[in-house]
Amino acid sequence: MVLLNPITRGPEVKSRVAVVGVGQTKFGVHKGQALSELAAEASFSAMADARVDHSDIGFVSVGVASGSLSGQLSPAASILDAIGLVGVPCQRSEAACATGSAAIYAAYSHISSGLADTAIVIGAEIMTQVGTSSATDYLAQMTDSRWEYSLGITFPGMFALMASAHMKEFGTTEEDLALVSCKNHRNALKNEDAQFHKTVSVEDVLGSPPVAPPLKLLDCSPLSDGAAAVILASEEKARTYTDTPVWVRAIGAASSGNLLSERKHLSSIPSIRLAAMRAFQQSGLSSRDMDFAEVHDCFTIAEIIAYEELGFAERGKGAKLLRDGATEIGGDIPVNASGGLKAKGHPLGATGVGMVVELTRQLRSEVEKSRQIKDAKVGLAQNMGLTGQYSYVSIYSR
Amino acid sequence: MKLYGAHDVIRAFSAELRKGRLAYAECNTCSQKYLPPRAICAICGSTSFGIRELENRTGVIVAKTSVYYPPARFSKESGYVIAVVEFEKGLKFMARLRENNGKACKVGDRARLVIVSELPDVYLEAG
Repeated sequence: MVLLNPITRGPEVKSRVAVVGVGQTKFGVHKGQALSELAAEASFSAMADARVDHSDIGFVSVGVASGSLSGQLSPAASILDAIGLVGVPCQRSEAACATGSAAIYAAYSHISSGLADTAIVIGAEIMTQVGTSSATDYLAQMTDSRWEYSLGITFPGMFALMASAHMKEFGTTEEDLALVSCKNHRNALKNEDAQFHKTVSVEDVLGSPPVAPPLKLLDCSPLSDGAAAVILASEEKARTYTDTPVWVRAIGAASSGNLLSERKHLSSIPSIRLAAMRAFQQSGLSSRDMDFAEVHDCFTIAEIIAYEELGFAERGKGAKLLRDGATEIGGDIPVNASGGLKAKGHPLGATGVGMVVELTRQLRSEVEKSRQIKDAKVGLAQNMGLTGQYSYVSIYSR
Repeated sequence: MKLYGAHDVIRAFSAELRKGRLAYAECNTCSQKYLPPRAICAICGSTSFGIRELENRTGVIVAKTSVYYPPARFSKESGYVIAVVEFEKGLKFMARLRENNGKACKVGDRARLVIVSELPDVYLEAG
């Protein structure tokens, strides 16, 4: 489908926006913890990192994708309470698996427009406390209730449909999909905050139980609990906190029609391309300028499609880029050095915020040495909701 | 010019199904086609549509999967097949797929949309 308004103008920026502090919990299973407790842990860590004064924070932006999963509907109020910022303007954003990026976008808009000088963004999710079958149901309810959910489709099912189309159209194989999982598990092994610390072979992936063919268990990101937080500040304010701010160079946002079946090619996610185009336009940079990227590998096929939509590979050539090793740490464009959603974990609301935590730490050369991108100056984060109905591509630099 | 609200469109689609017909909407301004029909064009913003019948309900399977980890309320049916079929005019539709005698079909094979009554009682039949 052709999209309306392919170009949007960038924001009228009154101030550049910087990341001055980041923090996150480990992603994984946090038994017995409340959403607000996880959110507070990440927030305190980000505030300590920024050495920000509590009274400086003028806006609290919360990203939680699902109230049903944690049993805490309207979660922003409980989080606000837990971080001691009562009285400060506060709102929650929701964009399914891109919820974290939506929350960042809200805070970025506040600061770049001059509405606030300093803001905290908190992304958090609890997903492991209701059981797999119920969690699958709550997530599936994010698809179109009349035309998709009613069939019994799930998110693994949606991405499996896309994988089957990509395989037919371009000859992508189940081994190619498995290689995404192997790479991201290898990277997560070196990331202390990651959910999984185990190597996974192609045979392990191919032999894992079918979830929605051609996708198997080890093609799928897990259910995760976790929280991540970042402190954003105006340029003037940022200089008072740190000599080494990380700059938000652009946030490209886009959307697409709700029904997967309406897409011209089921093997593509056009909103990623559109968001990327907007981010590149705002920043004056191109895909070739990126030193590394964190992309939304909710399922292995999604990482291969992301390579193509972001311009790292031509359409249909994503699997080749992977096989050539270009997206390994040390390759031309390392992708998901954190382990990605697949192995670092995917607590929905925390995912997009966690990507910015990772980008910031990479750009400050603060991650574990064995997975540090050498001389990283510019990084890209790609985060999407549903099957790309919500898309964010953002660029950060030293 | 007839103005349809979103729910009128669904009712029109369902009424056609009850008569055994598969309806799609064609934008009277830019000719974009929608299956299922919708009330406002995503290309040009027009709200003027013609509701037409898609006569040939056999198409090509362009995507296919089986759901082995279903949502809680579908758990008793685990293993069901879901496919997207492309009909003429580039129109696509997602539905459950019944494979003949358990013989698995693949992407590229043909399937026919069978209308039992109204929504959600439609399914794809292989072959």
